[in-house]
Amino acid sequence: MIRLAQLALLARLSGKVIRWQPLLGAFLLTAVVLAWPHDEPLTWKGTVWSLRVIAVLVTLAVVFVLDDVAAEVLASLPLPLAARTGLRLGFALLCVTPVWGVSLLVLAPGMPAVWIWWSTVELAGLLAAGLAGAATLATRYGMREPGVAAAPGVVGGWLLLFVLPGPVAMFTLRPQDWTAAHLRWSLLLVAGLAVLIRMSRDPARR
Amino acid sequence: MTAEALRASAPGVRVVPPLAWNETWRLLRHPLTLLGLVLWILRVVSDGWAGPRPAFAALTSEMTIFWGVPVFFAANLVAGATRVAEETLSVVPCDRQRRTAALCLAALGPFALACVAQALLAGLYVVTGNKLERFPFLAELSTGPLNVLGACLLGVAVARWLPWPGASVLVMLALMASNKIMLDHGGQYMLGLYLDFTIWGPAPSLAPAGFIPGHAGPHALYLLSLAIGAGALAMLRDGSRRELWLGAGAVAVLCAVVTGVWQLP
Repeated sequence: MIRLAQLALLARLSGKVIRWQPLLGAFLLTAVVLAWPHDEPLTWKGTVWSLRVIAVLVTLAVVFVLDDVAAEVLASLPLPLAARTGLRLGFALLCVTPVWGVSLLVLAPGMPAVWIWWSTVELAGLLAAGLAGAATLATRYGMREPGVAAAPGVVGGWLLLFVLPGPVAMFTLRPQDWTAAHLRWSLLLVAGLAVLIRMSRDPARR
Repeated sequence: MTAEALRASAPGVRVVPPLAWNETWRLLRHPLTLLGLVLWILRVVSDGWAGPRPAFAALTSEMTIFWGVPVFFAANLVAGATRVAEETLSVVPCDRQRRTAALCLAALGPFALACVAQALLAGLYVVTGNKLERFPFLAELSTGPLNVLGACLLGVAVARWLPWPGASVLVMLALMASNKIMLDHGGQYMLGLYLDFTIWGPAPSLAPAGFIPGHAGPHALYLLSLAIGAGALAMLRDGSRRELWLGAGAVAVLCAVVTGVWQLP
C-alpha cells in the first residue's frame, strides 16, 4: 500500500528534480505562436494548423518530464514505478492544461467549434504516443534521459503522421474525413496509453 | 598494456579511417535515418506521379524535410552517445578530435545514399515517362543530398557545442522557423535551406505553373558552403589546429555569403 505521506514526500522531491526548462521553453514558444503577427487574418485551416504546431511543441517538451538521472537509486524505494511516473505525468498535465486552454480560448473563435474537441484529441494522441516512447526508452532500454531520444522520435513520428496517404491520413482538413481521421487519432491515444501504462509498471508485474 | 601505453601509441595508429567507417554504418543503420528514408519514399509515392507540379517538388525538394530532418537528429544522437561514455573513452587511443573527424567523415555515408536514391528516382521518372514541366537541372537535383550532408554535419556540430538535452530540438525549431519566415517574406526565399522551385498556381496545384525566379546553381553551392561551415564548426570545438578550422569556417561563411547573394533573383 502506498501511504499518502510517502506520496506527498515523493511529490515534493519530484517537483524539484523534474526537468522544467523544456516545458518553460515550449510555453514561451506557444506564446510566440499565439501572438504571431500574420499579414492576413488566419483562415480556419490556418487556425487549426496553429493549434497543431502548439500541440507538437508541448509534446516535445513533455517527453523530458520522464528524465530521471536518479532512477536507479529511487528504484529501491518502497514506491511502485507507476506512482513515480504518475506523479511526474500529473505535474506535466497540471502545466499543459492551462496552456492548452488559453490556446483554445485565443484561437477557437476562428474555427468550427468541433475542432476544439478534434484538436484536443490530436494533442492527447501525440502526448500519449510521445510519453509511451519515452517510457519505453526509460524502462526497456534503461535510459536515464529518455527525452533526449524521445523528442527526435516525436519529430520523426509527427512527420510520419504528416505523410500518411489519403485513406489513412491523420492531418486531413476535408470535412468528410474528419471523423475517420480522429478515430485513428483516438486509436493512437489508446495504444499510447496502453504502452505507457505497461511501461510504468515495475518489471516484476509487467 | 596500460592506458598510458595505449595513448603513447596513438600517433602511429591510423584510427580515423576505421572509426569513420564504423560511424558511417552506425549512422546509416540508425532508426531515425531509416525512418527518414521511409518518410521520403512515402512522400514520393504520394506526390511523385500526382501531377507535373508535385512531381517536380517530390524530385527536388522533399528530401530536405522528410530525410534531412531525421538524419540531423540521428547524427546528433550518434555524436552525443560518445559524450555519455566520455570517461570510458578517455583511455582508448583516440581523442575527441579524431572521433569528431570520424563523425564528420561518416556524414558522407548518408550523403552517398541520398545521391543514389535521388539518381534512382530520377531514373524512375524517365523510365515511367513521368510528365514534368521540364526535367530538373543537376543543381536542383543536388539540393536534397546536399541538405542531408549539411544536416549530418550540423547534427555533429550541435552535439559538440550544445551538449544539453533538448538543444538539438531547439536548433531544429529555429531552423524551421527561420526557413518559414524567409519563405513567407519578400525575396529572401532562396536563402532558406528548404526550397520548392515550383510555383504552386491555383488549387489543387497539380498543373505546371512555372518556376520561382532565382539561380539554382549558386543555391546548390550556397548549401554546400553551409554544410562545410557546419563541419568546420564541429571540428573547431575539439580540434588541436583551431586556426585551421577557424579559417576553413571563415572561408565557408564567405562562400555562403557570395553564393547567397548570387542566387537571388
